[in-house]
Amino acid sequence: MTPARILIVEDNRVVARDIRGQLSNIGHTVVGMTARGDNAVELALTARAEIVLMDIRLEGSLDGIGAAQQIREHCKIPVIFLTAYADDETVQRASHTEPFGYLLKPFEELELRTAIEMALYNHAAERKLRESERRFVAILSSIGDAVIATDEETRVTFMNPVAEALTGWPQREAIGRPLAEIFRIVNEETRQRVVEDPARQVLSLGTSVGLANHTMLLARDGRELPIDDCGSPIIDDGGRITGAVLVFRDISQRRQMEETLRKAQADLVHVARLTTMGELAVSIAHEVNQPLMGIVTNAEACLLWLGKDQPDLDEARKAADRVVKNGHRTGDVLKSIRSLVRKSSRELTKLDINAAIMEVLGLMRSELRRHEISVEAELSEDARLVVGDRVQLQQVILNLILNAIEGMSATACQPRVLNLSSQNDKTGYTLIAIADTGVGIDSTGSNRIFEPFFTTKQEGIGMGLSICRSIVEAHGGRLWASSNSPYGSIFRFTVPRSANELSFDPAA
Amino acid sequence: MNSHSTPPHEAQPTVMVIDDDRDIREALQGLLRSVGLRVELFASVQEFLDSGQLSRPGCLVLDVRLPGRSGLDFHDDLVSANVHLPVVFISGHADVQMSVRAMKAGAIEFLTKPVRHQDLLDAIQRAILYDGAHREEQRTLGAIRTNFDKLTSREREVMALVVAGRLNKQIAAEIGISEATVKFHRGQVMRKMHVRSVAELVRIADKLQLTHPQPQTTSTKV
Repeated sequence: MTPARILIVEDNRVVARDIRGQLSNIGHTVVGMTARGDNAVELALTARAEIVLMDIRLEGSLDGIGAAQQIREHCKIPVIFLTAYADDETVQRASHTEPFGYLLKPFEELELRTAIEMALYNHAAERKLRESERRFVAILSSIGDAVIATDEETRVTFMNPVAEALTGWPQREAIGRPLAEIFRIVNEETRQRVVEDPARQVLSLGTSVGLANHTMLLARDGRELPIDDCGSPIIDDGGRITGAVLVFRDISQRRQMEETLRKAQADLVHVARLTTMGELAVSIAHEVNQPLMGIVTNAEACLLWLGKDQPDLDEARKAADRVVKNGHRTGDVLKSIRSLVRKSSRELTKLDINAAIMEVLGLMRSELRRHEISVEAELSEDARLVVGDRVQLQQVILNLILNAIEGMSATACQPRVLNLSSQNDKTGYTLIAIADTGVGIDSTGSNRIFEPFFTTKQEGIGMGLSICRSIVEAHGGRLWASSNSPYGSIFRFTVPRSANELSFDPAA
Repeated sequence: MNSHSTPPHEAQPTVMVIDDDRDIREALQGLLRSVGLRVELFASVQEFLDSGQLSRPGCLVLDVRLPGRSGLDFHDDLVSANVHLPVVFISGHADVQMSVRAMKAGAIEFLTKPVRHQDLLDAIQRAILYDGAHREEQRTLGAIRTNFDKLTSREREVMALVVAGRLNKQIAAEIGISEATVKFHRGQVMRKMHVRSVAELVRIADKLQLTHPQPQTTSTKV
């Protein structure tokens, strides 16, 4: 038994004394006795009573029920009614004060004892519950995420301050309103109202749900915020879903950071491409010089044919035709250089990967020749069409070919062969392989070659392969390396053949 | 590309262009044909070798950078194989080192793309003249050799001593025959070698690079 400090409010002093005797027997302490309802509250507070035994009929203007009401409002000390009246109306009134017990006079000591025990126990449980509630309110008010709770009809039952700030609705106005009115969301791109509000989804599915990407919250004051959210059901002891909790946050700042990061990455990719092009400058100049030589020579031949005593117009025309052809060839070379040097945002198109490979090979022909490398191309017709960013894919091919050239120029006597192939892998991807007969991959470094700043070269900064991999992965493909037989290495990568395979983030 | 018969071309020199770039080949062909030169085109050294025209009169126009062996390496091969086909190099780059190497190896000219047509035509002209002169010389040398082969060993002995400046008497003493016999052999040498004077015989001996047999031995013997 827990000894308790008890206040007795009883207009019959004989009965009061009797009760005090009983309580002492049980082991409780009576900290005060009064016959009036109007001073019961004050007495309960000053005497620090832990429980109040309250008669209903009392002296003074306030009866026991009124006094219990005041005690409940002021200090939440548990009250047990003691009364000889058990008529319906009285019981009804008394129950409004949420008493912790109801003893009908006359009562036995055991009944009194039990009633006090029960009241103390329930009071402690109630206090714990109140504490827990206060704790949750404090937590929900201080976290950075917005929280809205609803009942099973998706009517708002709770909003924390962040939710109030983001939606622009104060909790007191929002409570009881349908969630869809407070939490108005649209798809960022289509501007279409998201049909089913997340609370309703949670209620119907009974599981936690995340919101689709690119959701915008329309606040009451007209602001639009990109948000990220999830909802969870509230489930009672019986397993019934009694409501939903929605947690969401403003992601505009994160968006901004992502955008900045994306720009930085795009810049890096571009700079890497320029660096690569710079390494190739001499070879590329040669590719322009070739048709230029053709133009000059043909034009001179044309003039010579025309300058004869008997001008040969037919030959002159043929030479002029060759000038035109070479002029176009120069243009094509310049076009492919310009497209590689241009700083462009990622552009997804259906493209001919075989043509893209040949174009890169065209720019590198002189470089390959300089290193006495022969080229084999096995490009499959049914692997031709892929979806991706042409410039970036060419950058990958360019880097891998340069890599192969470097690997081969480091070897002295092996035949130098660069083998390029494309094939349809029958799983929706085109597989491109770039094989060389160079030094191959050091087995200890093979896992690290794709890491940023890992390099085995004197002059490299080690970004080439790392950038290649990030480009390929942004296309939803894979890039990996293995050893070629009997020597050299093979780099392979996949590119999706249709947009379905693309895990490209369209916002990026 | 070319017929197997060589004799008809023997008269007219041919410019053989080896370049792996079709546009360049066609442009050069157009230019050279416009000045009346005969042109043959090859995409690679191998293609040229396979055509079996190494001994054809004319010259080679070679791109420095070719797939497989470079133009410079091929030129070295020709030189070490004693093939005297003159070469005009065309390079995409004004590479000093390369041009020095080419010129040292005996190239006629090293031109940078885009080539001035007059420079190219001049170089080709020189190359063809050089080739013609060289072939003429080779022909003469061939004839001399044939004549020389007809000499007996005694006649060769006498000839060596004659071009070394010995008198008939000295020769007779040196090889132990009569002066009359020396005179006879000497007459045979002049006739078989188709020369009329000792000076001419000396020139021919130079071409044959005959080593004079121990010119100092006589003085020590005497």
